[in-house]
Amino acid sequence: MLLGLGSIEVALPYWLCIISTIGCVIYGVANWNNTGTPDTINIESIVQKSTDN
Amino acid sequence: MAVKLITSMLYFAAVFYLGWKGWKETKGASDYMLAGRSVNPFIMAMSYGATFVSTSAIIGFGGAAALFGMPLLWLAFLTIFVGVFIAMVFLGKRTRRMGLVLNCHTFPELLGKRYNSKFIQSFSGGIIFFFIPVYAAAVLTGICRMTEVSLGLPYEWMLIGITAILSVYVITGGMKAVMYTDAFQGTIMAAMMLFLIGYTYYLLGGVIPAHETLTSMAHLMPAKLQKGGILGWTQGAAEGSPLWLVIYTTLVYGVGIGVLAQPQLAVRFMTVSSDKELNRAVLYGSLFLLLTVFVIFVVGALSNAIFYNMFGKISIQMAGGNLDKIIPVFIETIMPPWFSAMFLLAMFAAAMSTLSSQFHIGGTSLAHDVSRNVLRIRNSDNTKQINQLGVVATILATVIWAWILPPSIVARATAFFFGLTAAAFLPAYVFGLYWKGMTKTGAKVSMVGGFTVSMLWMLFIHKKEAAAIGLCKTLFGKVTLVADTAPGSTMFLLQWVDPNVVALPASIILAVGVSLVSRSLAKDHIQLCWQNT
Repeated sequence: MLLGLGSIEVALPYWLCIISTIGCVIYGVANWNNTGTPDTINIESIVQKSTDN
Repeated sequence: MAVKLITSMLYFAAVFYLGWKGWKETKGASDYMLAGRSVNPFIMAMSYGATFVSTSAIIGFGGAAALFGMPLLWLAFLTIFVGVFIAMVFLGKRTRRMGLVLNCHTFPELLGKRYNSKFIQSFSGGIIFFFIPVYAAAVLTGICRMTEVSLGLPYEWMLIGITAILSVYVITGGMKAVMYTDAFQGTIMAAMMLFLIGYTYYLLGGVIPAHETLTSMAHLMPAKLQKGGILGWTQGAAEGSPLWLVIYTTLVYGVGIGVLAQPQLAVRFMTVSSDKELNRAVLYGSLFLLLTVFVIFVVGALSNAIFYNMFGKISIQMAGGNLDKIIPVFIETIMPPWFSAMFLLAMFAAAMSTLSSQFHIGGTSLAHDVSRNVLRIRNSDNTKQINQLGVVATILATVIWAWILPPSIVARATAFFFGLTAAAFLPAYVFGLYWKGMTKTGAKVSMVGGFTVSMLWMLFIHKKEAAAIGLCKTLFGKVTLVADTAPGSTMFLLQWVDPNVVALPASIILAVGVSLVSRSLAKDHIQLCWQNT
């Protein structure tokens, strides 16, 4: 578990870096197409409006 | 040398092509400031990561890991978990939604419109415009010094040359050019770092043998660092010792939490069109930060084992006592020759991706947030041109700072900027997104209060900045106000406590306290802010 490292204080963040990255990858894959609740505003209209400015 | 020059030429050709593509696709102010709110998630995530991780982070933090060892991995963990997951999922989605409904184009505009306050928009825009050139100067001088050594070109030439190249595409192409080039530069960085860690572990016979070798070297830790509390490169630091405070407050707490309130990162959340892109960006962003921040800390620490095996010296001795030379010396002496040319490119990429975003955010803050409110310039046909002028002003300010500031101050500029932005922006930003009860006065007091406490702490208490700036010495005749207290006492140790440990809680208390007793914002306004969340 310590992977040859000298203390838990160091081994813990080493593992946490890897585990949190794996967690982020899983989150990304699981929510790949999840757009959430649709926006109440139409982006195109806003972009068009500011482009016209 | 020829290989270095040819790869550099190819790299700059690709950067120019992407800059040109960004310029060609930029039609109006929304494209210039927010890349048309329709950026691909891979580009957004790589741009976010590459902006965050600069050359000074790789060279400086790698050197710090070579010196202090692997407890710095806590910072890598925080960067991934807080800087990507928390930032994108909890702040990013809401920033995008609220920014859209309030039609915001910049981070200060989001704060200003959320609290319905022109003061807040101008004040935050002013902080960004005033302090980001100092941070940018630190990145700029870092890469120029590195190329001076590596390519043998004069420092001043590099300063002007790199600035000129960046100016061309940031001024003309705006956010699209910045993000396209960032993504390309981020990809180079990630690829080089992947090879770097693979080769380092290979040289030491694998992951566990590498760590074991370093663990067995604890007795070689320089006496001065042992006295400061460091037990070994893989053993950590003795709790409460001065170096323990440096590691955990400055590097971990200061920078790890500070990432949440970085305006140049937060604005990127508004460049995508839906939550879907942010979900995908979590995946890309975490991998990028693992490959950069985690890798450089591990390689930095392990460089001691490799140098010791080959030359009988630890890293800091190999670098002649200069922390910033450890990673460059490691690359030149240990890695294969072709890699040193490619690594130089990766460092160019890291610096340029950070600088381009700094120039862009400084420019839009001045043009969109400060001048429109203070000078009362109205929205007109030439919004894009005004933004371009803002970028020009930021670039000029950066070059001037890089030229005139002493290196000791420039070296502290990154921490200075992170400290100020966290204390000034974090509570107003996070509560602004999640707490309907946060008031305009609460936000104002928290921002001004947090900024002031952070500034005073850095000028008069925190030794690193206070000593570099020298104001305390000039006014009171001592390096910090607590310099003459009993060594080892709590007051004495305050000199190593990061400004954020004090200023951020102060800013939070002010935000909550003042909001509870001041007049709330109109119900209609709050309803509008939350309409799309």
